[in-house]
Amino acid sequence: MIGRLPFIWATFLAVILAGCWDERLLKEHSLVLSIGYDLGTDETIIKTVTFPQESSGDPQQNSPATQSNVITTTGDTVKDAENQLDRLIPEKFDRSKAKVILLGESLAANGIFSTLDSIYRDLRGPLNASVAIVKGTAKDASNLKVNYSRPISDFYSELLISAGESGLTKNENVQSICPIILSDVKDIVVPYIRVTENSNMAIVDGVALFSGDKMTGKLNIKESSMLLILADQTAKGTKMNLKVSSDKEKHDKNFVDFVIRKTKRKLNVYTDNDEIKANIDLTLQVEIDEFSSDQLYSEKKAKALSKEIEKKLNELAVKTIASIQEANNDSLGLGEKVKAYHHSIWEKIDWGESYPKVPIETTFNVEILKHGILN
Amino acid sequence: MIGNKEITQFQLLFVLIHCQIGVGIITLPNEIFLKAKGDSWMSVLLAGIIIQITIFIFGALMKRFPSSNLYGIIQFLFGKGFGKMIVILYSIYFMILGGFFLAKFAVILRAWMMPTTPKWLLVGLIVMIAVYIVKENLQIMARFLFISSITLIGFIGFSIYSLKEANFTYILPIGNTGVVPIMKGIPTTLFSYQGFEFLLLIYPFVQSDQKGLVKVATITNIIVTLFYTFIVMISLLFFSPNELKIVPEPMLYLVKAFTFKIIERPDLLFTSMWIVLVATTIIIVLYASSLGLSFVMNSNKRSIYVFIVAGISFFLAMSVYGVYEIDSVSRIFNPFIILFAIGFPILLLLIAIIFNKKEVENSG
Repeated sequence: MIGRLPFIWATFLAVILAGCWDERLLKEHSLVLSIGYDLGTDETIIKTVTFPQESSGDPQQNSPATQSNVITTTGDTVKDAENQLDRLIPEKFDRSKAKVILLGESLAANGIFSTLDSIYRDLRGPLNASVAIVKGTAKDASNLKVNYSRPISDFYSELLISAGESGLTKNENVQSICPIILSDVKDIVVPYIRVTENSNMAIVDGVALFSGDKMTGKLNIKESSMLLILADQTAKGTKMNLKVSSDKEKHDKNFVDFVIRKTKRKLNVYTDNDEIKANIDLTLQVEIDEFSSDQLYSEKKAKALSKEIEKKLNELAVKTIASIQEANNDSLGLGEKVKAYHHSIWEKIDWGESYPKVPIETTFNVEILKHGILN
Repeated sequence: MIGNKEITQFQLLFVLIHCQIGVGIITLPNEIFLKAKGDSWMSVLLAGIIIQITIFIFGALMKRFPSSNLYGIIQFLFGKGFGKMIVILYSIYFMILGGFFLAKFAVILRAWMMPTTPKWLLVGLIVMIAVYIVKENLQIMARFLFISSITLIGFIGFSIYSLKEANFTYILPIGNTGVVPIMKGIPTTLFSYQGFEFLLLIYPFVQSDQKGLVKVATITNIIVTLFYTFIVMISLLFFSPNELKIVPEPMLYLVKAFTFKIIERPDLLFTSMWIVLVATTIIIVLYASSLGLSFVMNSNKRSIYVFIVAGISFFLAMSVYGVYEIDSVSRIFNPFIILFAIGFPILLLLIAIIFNKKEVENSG
């Protein structure tokens, strides 16, 4: 009997005490679903949270919450602002299920890693929340009056996901940007959202470019698609619209619309007399969506069109690369390649200084695969 | 005292695997990275080679003394009084080791899973589980260790999943840190590998000859070395170098980064599997310590000493608080691990060779 005693005790305690200290009941918590951070005056942090409003109507009706409550507090640090929040919400603040984290532009320019630090440190931190930079303030973005039947947090997280799926931007979450911010060989790009002036619409407006953890520039939506193509991170079915001629009478006949079905990228970083150079070789297989000016019945015409597309893509690529180099944003990961394969040079140079001067050449090779059910 | 062959070679394999894989597995990639940077995986492989050499030394020792274990050899070589003192030292060493593992376990578990659950409960529960198994005979222990090996498959599964976000440029160029950091990383790895000296304690109970024992130990060493190299490699490929510096438990952090459709926090699942590995380590340490005490007391009732040893380990664990205290304790204690696990058996072999001592055949 004495031998069985510890076992009996262990079972007893395990059953009785399980969760005694670490239980967290939903009824005692407010699930904050979106968090916005802004830089206030005196470098304080302004924190805006939204959480679903409990339906005041019939308790029997179990309809999902469509309205959001918005609360804004100010503090010296993120956690300080969060502690202020506990004075305002009757329940406990719980951010572990946050779906989206919005960062104001001025805060992003000042560095975002210290803002995210408390999330990385927290064992229940919402590492899977999407991250986006907002033009203006995250407070305004959180106060957006959407006409969709869903809370503001769902609106933003689905907006970012769908923008990522259609190849406009890359949907980044809190965890996926962490290793890149901390590495000195690569930089992040984060979706950039703009709220219209009468504050009833939010638009994905391209990407914000970072150098280290500070925002240093931005790309418009076309350039951001191009950046994804160059970085070999295109979603399946990225749509593009290019102006291939300017002599047609009717406006829309000057354009071609196509979908990118498959890309093959070769990034080659090489040295020439101790100078780093790079070229990017891209093969795109595309499907024409709309091209009203010419019939694509002959292979010759199709070839001519793909030549024209290649030219325009190249122009866009040159513009994109100029923008990211101006922002000192190495999101293509050239530094990674230099460090790994040209280590002797890497140790001699300061990558932050030499990167903007690296000549990057691009060559495109477009194959028209399909053109719908029309020639 | 020793005559019954309790476990098979196959069971020995799993016992030895659990000896070597324990608490340290989730912190190892970070600890070793601080020393050897991108070439950490080479330190792990080299440490495996050192262990292999040690295993051959153990083999020579086992050949000379086929039927008594480490404690028996010590008594045989040093005489009754002095020998028993050394055996007591070994028991104390295993007790402190147990206390240290328990303290580390509690700190990590409270950081990752149960921040407000009191420490005495977490430590107490795992000690109770360990005591329940250790007080039985070796055969029952071996069966439990065999079953709990399933968790290792889970470890490997999660790790392989993380390969989809691997970045191979993090470890390139290979060898750019130089030889010295790689060498510095070896001792760090050896602390995680500790436990293989358990072979010397249980080999008389195994249904095998000396050649078979060395063979099993070698297979174990290959499996464990590959496993550790794999774990370290995964962490190196997943985390960027600056990130790995500030993540103390890379294996848990790596799993936390994923979300599946049904399981939102797979790190909880992962931690639960790790708890099993901690339990097996505690089991082995408590067994070794209680075996020593019962040997000193010439007692056949090991189970009484199990309670004593477990109690002492429990209080040792309770007396260490905080992350930094554990760090400083481990800094002081680490040289002793090398001394007791590798140094002392080598000394025994040297003495046996120099004085040409051998076990008299058919003495037991």
